[in-house]
Amino acid sequence: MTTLAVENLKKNFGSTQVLKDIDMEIGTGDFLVLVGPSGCGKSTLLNVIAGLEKQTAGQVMIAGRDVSNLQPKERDIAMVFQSYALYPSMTVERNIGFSLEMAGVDKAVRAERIREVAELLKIKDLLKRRPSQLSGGQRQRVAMGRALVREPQVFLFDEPLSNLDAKLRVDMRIEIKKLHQRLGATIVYVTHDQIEAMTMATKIAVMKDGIIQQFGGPKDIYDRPSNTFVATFMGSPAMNLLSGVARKAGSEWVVDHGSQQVAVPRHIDVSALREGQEVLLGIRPEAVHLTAEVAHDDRIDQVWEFERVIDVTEPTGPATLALFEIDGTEFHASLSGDAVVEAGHSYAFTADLAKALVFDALSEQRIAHVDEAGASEADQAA
Amino acid sequence: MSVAALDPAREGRGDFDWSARFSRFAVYAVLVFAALVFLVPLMSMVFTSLKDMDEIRGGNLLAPPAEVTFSAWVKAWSEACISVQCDGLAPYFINSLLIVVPAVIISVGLGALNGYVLTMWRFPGADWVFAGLLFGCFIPFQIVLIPMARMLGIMGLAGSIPGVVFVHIVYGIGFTTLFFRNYYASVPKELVKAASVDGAGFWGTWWHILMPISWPIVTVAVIWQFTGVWNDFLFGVSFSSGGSQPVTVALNNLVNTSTGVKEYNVDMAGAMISAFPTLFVYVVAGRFFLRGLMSGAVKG
Ligand SMILES: Nc1ncnc2c1ncn2[C@@H]1O[C@H](COP(=O)(O)OP(=O)(O)OP(=O)(O)O)[C@@H](O)[C@H]1O
Ligand SMILES: [Mg+2]
Repeated sequence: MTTLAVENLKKNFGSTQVLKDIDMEIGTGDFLVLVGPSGCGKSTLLNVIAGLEKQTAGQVMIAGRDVSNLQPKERDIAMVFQSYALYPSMTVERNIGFSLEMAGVDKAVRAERIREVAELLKIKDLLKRRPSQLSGGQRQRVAMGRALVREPQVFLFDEPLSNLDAKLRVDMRIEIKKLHQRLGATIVYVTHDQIEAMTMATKIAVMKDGIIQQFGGPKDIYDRPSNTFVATFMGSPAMNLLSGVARKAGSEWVVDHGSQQVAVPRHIDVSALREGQEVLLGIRPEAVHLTAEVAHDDRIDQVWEFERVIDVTEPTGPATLALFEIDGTEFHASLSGDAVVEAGHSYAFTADLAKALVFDALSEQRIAHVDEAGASEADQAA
Repeated sequence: MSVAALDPAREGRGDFDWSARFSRFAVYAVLVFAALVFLVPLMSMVFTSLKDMDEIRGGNLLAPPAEVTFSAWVKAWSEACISVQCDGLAPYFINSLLIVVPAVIISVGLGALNGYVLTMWRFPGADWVFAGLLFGCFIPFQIVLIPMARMLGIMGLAGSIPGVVFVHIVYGIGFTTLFFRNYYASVPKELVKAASVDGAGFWGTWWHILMPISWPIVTVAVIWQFTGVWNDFLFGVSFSSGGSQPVTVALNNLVNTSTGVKEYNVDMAGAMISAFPTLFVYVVAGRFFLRGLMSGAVKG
């Protein structure tokens, strides 16, 4: 069932168009993550959904009801703010119960709801404290409690974890995910962090300049990004893009990028390619291995082998990142953590092309896969 | 910070630092002198008010009273003759209270409301409204006297306590708005957004969310307004008449009464009675200067 639908939504601040024709739909229990670079309009979209900003055009539907012209309190939503925005003069208890208090809920009922939420979030011992007496993580929990106590149709989170330190962030990320699984709540969640996006989302919307670039499941977004922006935005280090020209060599298509030619992987629908078309070959860093480490019996049947001098290595623990250049383009490889490599030395690399992508260099759109041929991309995503 | 610490380069030297010692001594000497300049007249006032006229005539201005008597205080409060009536300062003191209480409450309340609207519910032209209010702060009192007198006449408030209250409210709103606007500008907007999602409306947000964290600025505004209104002489003498005069005007009349002997002890007691409420407000309101009322709203 569709819980939240945004239709042809536009938002201008004066003459600046911040949201341009946003369209999306999520069902009950979905966890939608909005990602995108700073200033792309994520918070604005969330504020419009919440009713804190008025849309310039378009509609917001919540649970089948057109709420476009309703006050925030009438929309049946709850919001967790980046800064938490706890009421400084109130105890944790009253902070959590404030929305119920405003709705005129009976005191006993209120107390019971607050107790339940506090138990769920493990903050029962903090109820009598004031926000100034809490740690960052505890404040975060209280802010969540304030949203949870209302049992709304949709939860809106605006970068709720960005003020926490790295360790706490991972903990809270898991807790929010657990909470989502347990409550089956419908959530719209804004973040900068693409790990958060990948790990928590059931649906991801990648935004840029007020436009949704792609809307789909995390795996779709990662494996089949619709354009180079999405491809390089999701994943760290970013996907490598090698520019070249599509050529037909016998019955095979290759990407010719000067010094070398790379066979176009078999899953790419070559009927969409033209001889001489400028293309970008997309290879994720984790698909690049040291040839010495690739076992012979590996089922890697489409590969591209090359030798390069490593410029910089960055051991991260689980992986060792190697940076080198291919025809003037920076290229990242994410090697195994045990790989013994040194900057300034040349190594043989093997790139697994099983998940490689080809983009049209001009439009920056991805060339369709064979299994998508005929079917439109939109149908695939849905 | 101690005076010696002003020059960190001097610290840590093994030998005794005479120069730091001396500068500290010099600073204290200046402070003590300044304190005396203010305290000696006050002391003289207190002493004089506790003496009887014989002792004043015969004795030293700075000498403590040989025999303490409160009769001058009693006289100033309830018996002294001001113009033709001999009821002391008491009725005028009450007038002043009747002026200051509504004037302070209303001007501070309206200032808080203005500040709230100007920061959290901004409307087109809000900046112009604020600029206009700010401009009002800088108009000298003397300029408005005649237009204001005319206004009060038209409104039927001339020569009455409500008229004086009205003038003080109008004059005070500019300042109180300035105080509250600047204070609320530092309050995170997300607090108001959160309240609005939680279902609090315009008044609810103000009352439940903003007012409880406004005590520091309420204190400032109250002290400012109370002192200004209580100590006002010009508006009082211009817009009140006879029975509605504030204590400052009455004190002036008491001291300037030309009949009979000049009773310095009564004058001094009267002056102190008139000054007492502002002192009281400073001491009491100072306790509400709580720090860190806003901490905890947003991340550490
Ligand atoms: N009230 C406003 N008036 C004018 N412009 C605004 C207003 N609010 C936001 N904008 C502009 O709209 C754009 C989108 O802002 P928004 O806060 O939605 O970005 P965001 O995607 O949330 O960014 P971030 O990731 O940095 O939080 C920005 O360019 C911003 O300058
Ligand atoms: Mg934002």
